[in-house]
Amino acid sequence: MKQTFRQSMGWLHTWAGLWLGWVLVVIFMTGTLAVFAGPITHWMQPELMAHEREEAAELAARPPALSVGTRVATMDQAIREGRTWATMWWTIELDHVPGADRYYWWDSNRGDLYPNGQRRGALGALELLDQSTARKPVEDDHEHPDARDTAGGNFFITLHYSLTHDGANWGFYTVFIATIAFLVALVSGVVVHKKIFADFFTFRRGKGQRSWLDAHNAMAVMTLPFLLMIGWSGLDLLEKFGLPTPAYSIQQSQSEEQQSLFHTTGAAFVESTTLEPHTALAPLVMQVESHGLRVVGLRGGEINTASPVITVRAMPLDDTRFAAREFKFDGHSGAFLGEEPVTDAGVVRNVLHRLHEGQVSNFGISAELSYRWLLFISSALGTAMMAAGVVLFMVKRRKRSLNEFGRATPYVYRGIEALNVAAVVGLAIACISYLWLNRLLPMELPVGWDERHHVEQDGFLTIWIATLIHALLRKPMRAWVEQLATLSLLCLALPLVNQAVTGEMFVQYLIAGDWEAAGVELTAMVFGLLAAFAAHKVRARINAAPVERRRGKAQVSEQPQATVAEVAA
Amino acid sequence: MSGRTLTDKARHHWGIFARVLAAALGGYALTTLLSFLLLADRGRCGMSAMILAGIASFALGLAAFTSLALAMDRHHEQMLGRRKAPPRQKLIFRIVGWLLLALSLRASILGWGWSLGSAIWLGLLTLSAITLILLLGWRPRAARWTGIAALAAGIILSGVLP
Repeated sequence: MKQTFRQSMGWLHTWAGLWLGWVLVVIFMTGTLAVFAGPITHWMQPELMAHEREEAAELAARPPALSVGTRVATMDQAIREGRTWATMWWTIELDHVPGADRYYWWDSNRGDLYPNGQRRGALGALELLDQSTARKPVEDDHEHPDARDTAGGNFFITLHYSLTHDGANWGFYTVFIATIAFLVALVSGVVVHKKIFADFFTFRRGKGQRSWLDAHNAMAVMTLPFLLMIGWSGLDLLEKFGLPTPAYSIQQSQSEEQQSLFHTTGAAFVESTTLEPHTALAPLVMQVESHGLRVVGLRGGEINTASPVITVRAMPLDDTRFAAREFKFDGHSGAFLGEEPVTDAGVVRNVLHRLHEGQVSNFGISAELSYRWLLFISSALGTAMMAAGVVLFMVKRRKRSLNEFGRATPYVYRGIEALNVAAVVGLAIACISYLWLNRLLPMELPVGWDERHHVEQDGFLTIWIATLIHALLRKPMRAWVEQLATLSLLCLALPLVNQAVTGEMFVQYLIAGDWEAAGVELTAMVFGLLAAFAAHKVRARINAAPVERRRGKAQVSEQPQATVAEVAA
Repeated sequence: MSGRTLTDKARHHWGIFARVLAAALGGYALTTLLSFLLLADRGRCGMSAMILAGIASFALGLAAFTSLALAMDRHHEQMLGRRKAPPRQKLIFRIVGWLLLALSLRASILGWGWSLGSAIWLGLLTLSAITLILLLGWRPRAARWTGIAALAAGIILSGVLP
């Protein structure tokens, strides 16, 4: 037991921070990249770029959109023609992409068979409708060039919440535990940081361990609201891994017939051919819009039962909220059944999820872009903050071992040093190499190889493991320099490899007005410059004369005892 | 130390404040008036309004943090080279700092609305604070001038916001 509360919190902060710090660096770094997963996917499919530019030009030249009622009526007709009596649900999304609406349904007469003979069902159709012409967009007739098979930026998203490329359960659980440790470390860190207000703007450079502590504290305090939000909302997004019991117990307590509903609602279906199609949708839309609301989507649910329900989702015109309001109508008669009650918990949940994922597009595309850039910068600072934390752990113990592990301490320290490099710089190298692989791998892989997008992801993992092996074989400081230099080269040369393979780089992208693709390359280059700067600093530190290193040591021991106790593990 | 008494120095510094404050309010009033007269689509929530709001909020945040830092001995010495600020001056720096933070929040809300504006404000404050920390670490004497420039830019741009 530690003597004071603050010392206990310090101990907790150090060890929760260290053991889960590497996992958290992975989560934060992939999360930073996940903010711009869309642009990254766009960059990784250069074959589609010319096509998308044409589409954007056509969109600008289109006549204004038809009324919502007209468009909904057209999609309604298409859904009826799609044999809705064989579906479980259908969905209409207005403004799905700029200039287009989307509709799709679930066809329960298709798909694989379950053991009980019911069909699982499959998407019946997924169609876009041009808002100006109320027809399928003309570009559907264009020849779509085959884009290279890649997972794109979604790979980073999946890594972010499950540490795997396919959402394995063990990954979800690990991220959940790491998130709890993150919040524990955050709160304990604030408790331990006695002079949080006095040291608000403090950063003393060139002072070794003191500077690392200042950097760690400053970056944490500056992004504190963001860190609290992202940790808390992240935990809520993973709720079913933390609190699995309620859903599980409900499922277990139901009869076998009801349980089959989780897999297919076939058992509860009325015989399909006796059903009537649903009521007209346009009047429902007009009814909702007459209350000063803007309809954003419709959904037909429980279609194959005796009482289908149509839900109309709408946003207020003069205010922007985080969630749409839902109005329910009887599927046959069109009678208004009531508004879906919104619980306070539901509102909080919705806000938290959208803040976490940057889904604020109902405020406008520019607003979402502004918010996402701030998420990106804060997240990058958070990653750097945790990297500074794990580095600080070893900087302190390089000068004087604290022997926390008895005789094994030097070996544990060596392992921690290697994991530090691999988790921070090694991971970054793997991320930029993923982009390199996207360009370097041929479009068609030789027979016998795995699918191309799997090869890209396997390459990521292989390179990451290689950086860990490198970190174990080289001395710690040398490993930092070499990996930072490699990272810098890979980031700065990304446009060059792009130019060599596709004939275009950020210059051409900017000329064409493609800010997304140019942004990916320019941001990579900025990180390359930062890595080069860091490599230079570490190399200067290695080359510093032994005399100066001893002087640095003396500076540490001159510090007042209170500070050392503060930092004490 | 010259022959001036403490009261003289306080009056001198307050005089500077009064002048800066008057100039800021004057600039704000002037740009508000001009924007009413000259900008036809003032008040639309387009991209340019967001950019203005973002820069204004960031600039006011930087000015606010500079002012709050000037109330701290360590940073006062870094920025102005003098040993300590007298207590009344510290109080003025703190009041001005918090006032500027409120104005920074206002600019952000004008650009993005209440809900998203509050969230974005916190993100912009991160940028302002990091900027000041970097300035204090590498160019402390320049921090005083960036503070004044940020104050001017923030106030003037706020005048153009709806």
